[in-house]
Amino acid sequence: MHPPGYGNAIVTSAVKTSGKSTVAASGRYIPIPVATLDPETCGGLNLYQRVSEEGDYLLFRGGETPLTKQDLENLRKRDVRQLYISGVDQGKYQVYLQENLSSLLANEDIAPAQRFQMLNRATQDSLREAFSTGDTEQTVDVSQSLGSHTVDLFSRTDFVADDLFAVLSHDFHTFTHSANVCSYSVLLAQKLGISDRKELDEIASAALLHDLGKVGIPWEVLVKPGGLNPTERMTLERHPGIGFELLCHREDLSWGQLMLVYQHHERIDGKGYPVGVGRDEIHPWAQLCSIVDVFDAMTSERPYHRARRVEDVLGTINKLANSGLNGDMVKCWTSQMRQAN
Amino acid sequence: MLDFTDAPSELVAGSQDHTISLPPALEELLQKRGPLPVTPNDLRKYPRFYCPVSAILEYRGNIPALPRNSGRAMVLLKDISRGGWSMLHVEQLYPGEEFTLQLPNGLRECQVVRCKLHSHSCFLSCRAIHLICAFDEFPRDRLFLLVNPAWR
Repeated sequence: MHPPGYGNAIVTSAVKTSGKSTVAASGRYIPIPVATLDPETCGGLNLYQRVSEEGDYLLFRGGETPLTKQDLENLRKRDVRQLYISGVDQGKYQVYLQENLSSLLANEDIAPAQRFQMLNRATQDSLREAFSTGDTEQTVDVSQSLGSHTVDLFSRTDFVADDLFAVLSHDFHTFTHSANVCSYSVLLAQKLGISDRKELDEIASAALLHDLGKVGIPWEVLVKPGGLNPTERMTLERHPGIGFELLCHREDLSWGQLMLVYQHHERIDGKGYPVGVGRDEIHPWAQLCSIVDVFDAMTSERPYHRARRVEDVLGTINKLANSGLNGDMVKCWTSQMRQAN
Repeated sequence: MLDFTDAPSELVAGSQDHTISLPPALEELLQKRGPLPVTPNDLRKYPRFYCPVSAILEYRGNIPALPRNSGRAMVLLKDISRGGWSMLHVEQLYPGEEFTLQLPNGLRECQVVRCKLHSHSCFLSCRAIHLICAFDEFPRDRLFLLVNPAWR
């Protein structure tokens, strides 16, 4: 299942150098919702309209020509909901999105699924940047901010699990996985009856950080196709401890958040890692994260396995109930997904 | 095995005996000496040697969020190497957690690298030493193996 939205279109078309309207040179074009464009703040972006099924694009507004409210009104009247930016401007658009995220997420004119996609995209981009710099401070700050946005959006809209699944990406990147686990965790936490805003914010930001420790794992181990040998497995199993150690000295993270990072691979039968504790010693937030972590891992493309169908994965998760995973939480999650399906 | 007959007087009070029953795999630990046998995929940088020594662990409280009583606890060292040592404790410690270890030959500042649950019924025995921390409050039926806290 591929989410709508941020696709890439490869185009080859002639370049006209005269006049304002120009068929763009060959390159990658990314669709963006018109509703995300604020005339006062989106300056500097070259905006294109798609003019043919073959993939020709026409320059709608150059970055040096301000977009106006009248432009947006005209687009709305013509029922044009999508414009395009070139791949070259993707970075600029990401910055714009992040700077305007709060107001965009609060904009009821934008469909919930689109708002959620913007948030997810902003989360992935921010995490990718934070992970690549290796700056824990930046990563935690990003996680807290985006975690709070996630909870905020969930509180404004009535997302069901299937809606969520449809708009998320399912590739193998850690930042994609972390963003997905954050969304699933908030949804499951709400369905389990957690309504305290502070708790939900903490769960969301901790879920974004849950695999932070993978920055300390060699890339070759993370993306190895096929099974890991015992040495590689031991190396991989260090990531919860690495993540915990990167975060434990901070005063702005709670014990529950640290335990979510440290214990999300523990099993209630005591056969998990890194410590091997059982149910009573695994923090409930870690038990919650375990379920959605497994769910997202199995429904995503990985170098070592193809994405599996949701129904098959729910069956596998059910079998792990009360052995590896918390049975009550599994029941809640599977009923959510099955209801939607 | 070394003991604490010369421990500071404030540490010796009363006649509390804390009994440990080591699990079958560790029953002979207290008699073992010399190097540990090498195991496949050991990932150890230096060889390890048996060193069953009692020590007093003092928490330094360097993890702000950790809900732990401060104070001291008795631990049992299991083995030692140039890179650190492993020890048995009734309480779980966490990566990055710092503590001071009082050994018969002095103090060491240490940081936890890894911790694994070793056994469901493993106790630490010590002889007439009064523990300042609320040792009795911790369940006696758990023992955590701390692997290679790093020397400082």
